Amino acid sequence: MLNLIAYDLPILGVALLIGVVTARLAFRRPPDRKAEDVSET
Amino acid sequence: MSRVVKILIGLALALLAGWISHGPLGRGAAYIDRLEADARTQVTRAEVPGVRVAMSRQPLARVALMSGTANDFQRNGMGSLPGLDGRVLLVPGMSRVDWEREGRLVPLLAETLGLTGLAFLIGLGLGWLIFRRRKREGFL
Repeated sequence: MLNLIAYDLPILGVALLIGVVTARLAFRRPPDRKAEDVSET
Repeated sequence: MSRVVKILIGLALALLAGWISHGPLGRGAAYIDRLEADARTQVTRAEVPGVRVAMSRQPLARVALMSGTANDFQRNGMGSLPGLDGRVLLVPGMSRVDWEREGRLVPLLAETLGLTGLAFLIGLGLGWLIFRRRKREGFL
């Protein structure tokens, strides 16, 4: 299995990057809002 | 777009990349070709006449299919002397040796997609650690 992982490292790196970018899009902080909107409601 | 939909689209993209690498780019077949060449070298070194080895092609799998006549000693070896099975299993990346096609194979594509999905999840976890929304600490 380790040999297969080593062979597939390039595509696994691509998949990892896709995961990071997906997290960036899914979990990113909302843009800064005006002071009056920042209440903890 | 909801968070779940974004994650599912990302997972689908990662799996698509894994499939493209395995199939259209030919890396899956190239990997099996390399395993087969190494397995043939091992069988040739064992000097047992009439024994052939080929990798599973339908589906592509890391399973060596042996054919020919060999007795139990030649197949399994004895003590520290490896038989044909042991020699072929020494090939890095080889998963199994079969003399008769038996049991279920794990296709190489399934292994590749599993690893690709795992890499995606690791990336997603790393990204979550970096980009998650933190609770505000204080009012400034």
